[in-house]
Amino acid sequence: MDDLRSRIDRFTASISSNLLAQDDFVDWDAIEHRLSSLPNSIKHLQDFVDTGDLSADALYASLNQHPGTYELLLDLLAFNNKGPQVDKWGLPPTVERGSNRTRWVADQLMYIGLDRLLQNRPDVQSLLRVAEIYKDSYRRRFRSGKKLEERVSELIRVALREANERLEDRVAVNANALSDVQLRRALVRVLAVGNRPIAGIATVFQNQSGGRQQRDLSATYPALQQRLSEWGMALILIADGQGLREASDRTINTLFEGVRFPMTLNQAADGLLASAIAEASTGAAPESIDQTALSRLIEERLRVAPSVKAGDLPTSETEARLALARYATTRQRFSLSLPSTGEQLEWTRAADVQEARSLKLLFNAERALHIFQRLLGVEVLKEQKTGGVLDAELRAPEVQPFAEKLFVRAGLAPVAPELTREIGLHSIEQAPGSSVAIYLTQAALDERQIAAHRKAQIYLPTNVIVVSARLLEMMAEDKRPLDRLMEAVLTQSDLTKVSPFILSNATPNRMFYGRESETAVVLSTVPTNSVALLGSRRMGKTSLIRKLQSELAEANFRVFFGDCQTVRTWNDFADLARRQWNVDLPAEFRPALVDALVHELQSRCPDAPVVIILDEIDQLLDWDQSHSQGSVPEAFFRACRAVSQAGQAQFVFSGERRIANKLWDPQSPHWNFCREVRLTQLTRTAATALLMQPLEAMNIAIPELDEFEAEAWRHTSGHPQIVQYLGDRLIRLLDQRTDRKDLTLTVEDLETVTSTFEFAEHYLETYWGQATSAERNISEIIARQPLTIAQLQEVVACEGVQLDASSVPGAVRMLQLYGVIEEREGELTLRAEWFPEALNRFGGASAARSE
Amino acid sequence: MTVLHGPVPLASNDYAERVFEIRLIQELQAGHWVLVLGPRQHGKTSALLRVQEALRGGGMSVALVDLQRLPPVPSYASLVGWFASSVSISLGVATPVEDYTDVFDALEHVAPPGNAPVTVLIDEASNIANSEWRNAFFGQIRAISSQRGAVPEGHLARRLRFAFAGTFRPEQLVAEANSPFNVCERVETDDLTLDKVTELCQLAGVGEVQNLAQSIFSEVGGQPYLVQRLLANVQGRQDEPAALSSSIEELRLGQSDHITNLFRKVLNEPVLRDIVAAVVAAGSVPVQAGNDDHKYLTVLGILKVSGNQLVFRNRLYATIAANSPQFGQVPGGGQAPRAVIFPLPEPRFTKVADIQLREIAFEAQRGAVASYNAGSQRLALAGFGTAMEAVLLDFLKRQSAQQIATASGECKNTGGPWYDAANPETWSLADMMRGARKLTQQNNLDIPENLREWRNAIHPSVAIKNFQPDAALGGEVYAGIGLVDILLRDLP
Repeated sequence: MDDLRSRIDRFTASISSNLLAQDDFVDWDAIEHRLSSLPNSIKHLQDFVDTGDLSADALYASLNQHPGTYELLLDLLAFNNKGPQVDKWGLPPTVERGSNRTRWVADQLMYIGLDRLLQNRPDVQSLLRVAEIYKDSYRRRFRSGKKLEERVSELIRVALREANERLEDRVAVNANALSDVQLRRALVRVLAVGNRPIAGIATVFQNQSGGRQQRDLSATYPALQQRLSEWGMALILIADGQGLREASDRTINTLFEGVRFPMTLNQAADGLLASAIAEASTGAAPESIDQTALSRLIEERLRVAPSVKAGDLPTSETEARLALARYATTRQRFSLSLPSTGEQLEWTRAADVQEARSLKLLFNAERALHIFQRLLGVEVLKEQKTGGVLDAELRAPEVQPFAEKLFVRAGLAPVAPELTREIGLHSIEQAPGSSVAIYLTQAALDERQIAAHRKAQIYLPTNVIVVSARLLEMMAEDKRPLDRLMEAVLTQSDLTKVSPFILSNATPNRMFYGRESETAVVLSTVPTNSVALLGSRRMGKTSLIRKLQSELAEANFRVFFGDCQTVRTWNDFADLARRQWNVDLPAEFRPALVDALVHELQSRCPDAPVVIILDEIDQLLDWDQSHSQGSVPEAFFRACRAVSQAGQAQFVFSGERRIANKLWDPQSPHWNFCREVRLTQLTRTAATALLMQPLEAMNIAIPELDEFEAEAWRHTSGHPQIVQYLGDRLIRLLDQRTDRKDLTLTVEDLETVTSTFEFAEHYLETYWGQATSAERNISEIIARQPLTIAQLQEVVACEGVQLDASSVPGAVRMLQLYGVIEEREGELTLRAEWFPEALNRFGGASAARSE
Repeated sequence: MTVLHGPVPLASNDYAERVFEIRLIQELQAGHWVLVLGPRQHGKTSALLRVQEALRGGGMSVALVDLQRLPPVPSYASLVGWFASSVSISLGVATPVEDYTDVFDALEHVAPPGNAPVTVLIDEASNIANSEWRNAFFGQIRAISSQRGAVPEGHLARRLRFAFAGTFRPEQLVAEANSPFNVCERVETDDLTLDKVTELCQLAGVGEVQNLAQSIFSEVGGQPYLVQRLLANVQGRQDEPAALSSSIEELRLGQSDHITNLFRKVLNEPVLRDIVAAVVAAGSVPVQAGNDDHKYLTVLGILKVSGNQLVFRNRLYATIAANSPQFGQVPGGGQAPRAVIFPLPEPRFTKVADIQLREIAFEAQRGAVASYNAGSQRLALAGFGTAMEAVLLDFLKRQSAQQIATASGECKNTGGPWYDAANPETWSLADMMRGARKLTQQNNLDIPENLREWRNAIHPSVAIKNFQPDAALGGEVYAGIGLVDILLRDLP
């Protein structure tokens, strides 16, 4: 293991920082040469441009006089006059003087928009230089590829020479030694001793890391090694470039586990390539056909016995031990033990494996339950046997999608609607909130039965997962038995039930990610001041508040929480205090009593400072503003402020527009009452974790990880509710699949979800939330282009948005709070970057404009 | 037997299972709350009945409460008590329920013990008329949703699952901050597919199943009520295609409560009417982001989203709207189809303060539309004139004595013994119009003289002076309803 780690470290440290030379990007010499070869045509075209008359007639006259300029015009419009492209668009490769066709061409070029390009008398040579760069871009790939190819050839030549200096049997390049043409194509060189192929060299150069690149490293090359192994060949993979540096640890690990000799260009040059060639020719070759046969014998033996001994194999003791070791290292998923002597390979959980096997022949409910419980490493809380049926409550594994408890039934009855219904009903009573229940039984469901069972799950209150004796055996054989169970959950479930994403409620701790800085600000403020958490609807205010409750309690504060969602009057508030905090208050509550209320709360625990959390305060503030006590306006908020300033208690308010406007208004008496904590989107790291970790916990594979994450970010910009919505819709997409083996989500799947009208609608509605029509208009204006506030005020006035210029900054501030826009280098720009695309899904401007 | 009124009974063979029904079950069984929106007569209630049956079949506790059945109640507490009692009866518990001021407390009283989910399906969720009670009721339900995140498993707040069904604007029904609809999965009812329509044709035992199904589907899409209605009219008829054509023609003339109610809903809100008129004119309008009116028109069912455009949901609705002067199209003469007009909805008459005059005005124009639809233009014009007179009289009766004195200064027919300058009820219609014009600064309010003249054509002696046969008075009728509509819009 340490050896692997150090090999990876050395590999990573030697990755080239830049595989490309300057002229790999743009061949400036060639471009300047081309421009200098056309001085007359450029001058004629410049003359035409400088006349300022960009009419079709003028162009026709110019072309008639100087037909050579036509080629330049095609370049400027990105048409290659040498290929079939021009014909395809109906344009000739050249024009002739006085031809009718030239007249038509002039009209056509204007129709395309040549006049747009040439307006304001641009410098033609500069424009052509840009056009040449574009043309050159097609040669870029071949240019860089050729150089790398030459470098690799030289490395191989040198390495072969070095290796052969120490080898008895000479290694040479010999493509014919490998008769599998397809395999040969995957290699840049086939190395052989005589006609015996010993190794193949492949190269992979990645300037960036994305899904395809990661898949190459983690799947394509390990698979290539496997195929070469069948020929007794090692794979030497020269891999380099920035993409390798950016690849995840997991990907690089998989590459190193699956490929015999991975190395960078620098490592290859430093002698590693020569060593690999030497080792491939003299060391133990990768699995040969004989060894494959041995592996098969080992597998057969392990399928029926708890272990296999070297002596059981029909080969020499040494070869047998090597075969056992090889088998163990190439079956990473199996939980196998190989003692240091290497004489025997056995299942780590041999007893459980054997017992599970015995259940296939003779099922016993108790034994099945206890194997299952041991494999998951959880406690049996309760069990009860009635007849041949055993019901049990287990403490559930602490991963998605399990809840606190798991109901398990073990029995022999065949899976039928009445049975699953009964199990479902028991589960909701005994393991409430669990989206899965387990039925342990002898027989496995076949494919057809699984499909029918999955359909029937829709009608059940919980998914009933059938775990057969064979599945128990597989769990016992697996390094991570839970993964096997999870596969069954994914295969058999109505996935709507097991989706871990929370769309309509506060996020529980298990799904809480990020918000560290906001939490820190609140915790450091409340000892001396009150806090207002400002954020739009669904931005996660309540989730953060729930978390703060426990953090504050741990920090020895006495916390009183009130959900003010339905509190619309002072009396409603009093009802809440009575109900939730158990205080006596007069029937007609008045804000002056806030002081007494706090006093009462303080008296319950004099040593702990009191923090009162009021979630969704906006409606109460509305009432407060429109009612006064005596002649005191906004009496409730004033009373809170007095309590806070006297240090009797501090408040954590959460709200949206109303409280924000109060705190932002310098004329308001509450202007500097609380410390404002704005809650906008999650950081990229937190948003990614919120989406990816639950998916990973459910064993859903995401091969194009980086690209997937980048696309998810682009479509959410970290809005926690939209992230969860996306996650939920991805799960639902998987639910539509009939083949549930190795469930995988790709970038295309993400595109399938985000390309729906429903997603765009949800995105806009969530971001806009309570935004006014003028604010919506402003977001649409900013979506078109970034603007300074002064420019925005002008556009607002020009476009007839119902907002006077002085109110624009307030609207902008609100949109910043909503996370829709942000200020960057003096300009207002979109923070929710997918906004323009979401708007494009609709047929017209938003409703706001038409109001 | 085809079912045209009310939900399709559970035992009926004529029920076509719908995709949204399965989705509703799936969401509820996944522990989600659901908002089921869809047009009237689109199978929501039938689906709720079946969802209830399916979930009960799985051993779940499910209550179905139809808020349309809410009796007049004296207080909010009685409303909550009635609701809890209905839940209790539907669950088969029949626990006596007193009045409660909190929905959760009331449900706690009737919920069966244990940890199992309790599903409450609320049909016609918009049917609490008192807005304060409505807000309190749904706000308290919303509070249950908020509680879910903070209470342990097995707590009633976690066990409760709600589905709200109806044809309404969720954003307007309840104040945003208190709305339980924000925490729901939204499920929209779907039309029947051609296959389902074909299946229904087979069940109905018609002869030319495929052709008939195709004809029905191309006219009304999969609108379940209209499909059933057309099928009912065809069943047992010798010449099925002819019966279908005649039935479709009848619908195109608006002769169905379904059509009248749908278009009346649209006419009730000028902004909706304008959108539908725009679709008539252009064939489609672009869907606007965040436009609740667009969404509501799809919930009402008259329009649907196709790509990024709003279009008519079916050819029938498109034809009716295109032939209606109320949506901006006045049919020409000759072979043009007879225009369809719809009575103005009652809320348009709320400016008429006197309840009796309001009733007279509303019913007179409703009668006028009915007369027109029955083929009598002249009577229709009389009805519109009566409506206008009632509206004007109410307007004058609302004025102060001083203003009446000003208005009466315009009266010309003052010679008769019945005339009392201080009492507009004694004035002729022409004088009412003169007086009203005086008070409303004529330019701001157009009191149509034409309508008074057309109304007088009810008198044979007037009608023969400039005789036009009844059938030729269609244009006057289209204009007449428009004039009443404009008067109601502009009247102070």
